[in-house]
Amino acid sequence: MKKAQRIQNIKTILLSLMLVLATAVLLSSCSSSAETDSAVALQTALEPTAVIPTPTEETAVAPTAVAATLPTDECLLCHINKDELIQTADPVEEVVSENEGEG
Amino acid sequence: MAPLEPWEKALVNGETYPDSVHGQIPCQNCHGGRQSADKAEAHTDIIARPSDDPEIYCQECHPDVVALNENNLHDNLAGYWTILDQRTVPEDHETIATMFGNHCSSCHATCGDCHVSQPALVGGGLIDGHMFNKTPSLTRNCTACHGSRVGNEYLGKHEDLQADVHFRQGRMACIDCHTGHEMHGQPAACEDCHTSPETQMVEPANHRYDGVQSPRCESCHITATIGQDDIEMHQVHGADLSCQVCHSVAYTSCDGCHVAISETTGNPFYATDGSYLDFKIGLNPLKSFDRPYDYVTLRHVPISSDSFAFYGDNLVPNLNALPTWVYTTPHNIQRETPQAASCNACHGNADLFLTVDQVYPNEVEANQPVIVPVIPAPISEITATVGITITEGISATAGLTTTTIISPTEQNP
Repeated sequence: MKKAQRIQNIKTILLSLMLVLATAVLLSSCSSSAETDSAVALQTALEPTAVIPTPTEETAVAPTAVAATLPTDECLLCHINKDELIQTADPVEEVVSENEGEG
Repeated sequence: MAPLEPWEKALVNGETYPDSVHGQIPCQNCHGGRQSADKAEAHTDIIARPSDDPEIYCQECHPDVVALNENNLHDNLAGYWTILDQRTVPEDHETIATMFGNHCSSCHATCGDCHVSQPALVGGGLIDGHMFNKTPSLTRNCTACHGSRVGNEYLGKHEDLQADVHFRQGRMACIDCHTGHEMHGQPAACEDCHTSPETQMVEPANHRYDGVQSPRCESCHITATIGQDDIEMHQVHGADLSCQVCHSVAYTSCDGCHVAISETTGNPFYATDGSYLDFKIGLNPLKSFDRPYDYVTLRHVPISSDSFAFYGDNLVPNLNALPTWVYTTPHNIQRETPQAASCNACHGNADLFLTVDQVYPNEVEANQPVIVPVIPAPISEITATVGITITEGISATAGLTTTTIISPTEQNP
């Protein structure tokens, strides 16, 4: 009778251990899943940081690239700019022609 | 042509010009100046019109054209001197040169005045964002200068007068007849023009109507003057009338141009006694193998004996050396005209011909080479004498401002 009870106790202990193990396994998997989520979250959180340098680099490159097609000539820089020309135009002196008749 | 705003005159097309051939050349190579964002500094020693010196700025890439430049009338204005030399005397030429510099030299046109910008004479200004146009614009280049006569005639700007048929129906531009070779001072090819016996001893022409015609109507209308088409008047008249005698309508003549310097502004100016639409047929003063016409159209030019009186007395002593009614080629060609409506729309029509009574008394001597002594008789008189029959054709239509059209019914009942 005692022997049967011991066996039952051992089974209970084993079951408990298995449950504990299973719980541990589950917890550990949950934990790794959480860690992955954290990593993803972190990565996502870091992405802007990681991406920022790219646009920054592009921003840094872009003006250089555009600068290659835009004129570096000061003359052209002004003379292709309508607003600049309007702002810097000399005042128009009205010349009254004294010509009479067909020229 | 509306005047350009100051910024419009100087605006370069940033999309097209930098990629063009001339856009590959640094601005300073032609325009001088300095590299600076400050306008005054940048414009120091600026050369606004580099092609004033084509030998320096155009020669390297366009040697063939620049080599002709000394013969280019747009550049050398030699046509003025052809006339001035004959009407003035050498001892006055220094004074005449001063007058010329003040009043006539503004007609000088550079390469850029035709190919990049509007002519300086009308205020300049880039036409197409500094793009170089091989073909000048009809209105913004050619008639910008040649406007008061040719432009107004050709484009039909005179009230009640149609535009030239070549423009109205053909939309032809100046350059379609007046080639780039002609503009630059060289005929397209010598053999194209020099086909006559006279060419055995060809000398450079010293007058626009001296020698071979270029352009000439017959280059396109081949059959018209040799009587090989179905038009009776072409067969009857052949080459005794210039094409314009039958095919042009009223055009501008001017009287009495006087030049002076303004006391208030110091600017040179001119004043003419008058300008008017007229149509006059006269004798051909420059008859030649290539211009065999008995009759041509005449236009009164505004020279007078005191035209240059501001600069001195009697500076036009030889007014009579040349007619004041000059051989002209109006640019308002029409297929049907009042004077060609019928035989007697012209024959017997005294209003059409420059007779002595229509010439200012002080200009009669000058115009002896062109004055028509006796106008062609009406056909009825000719038929009565010769015994031929001419069928009257199209009825007269309005168009000549100073011409009284005599209908066939009135003239030849």
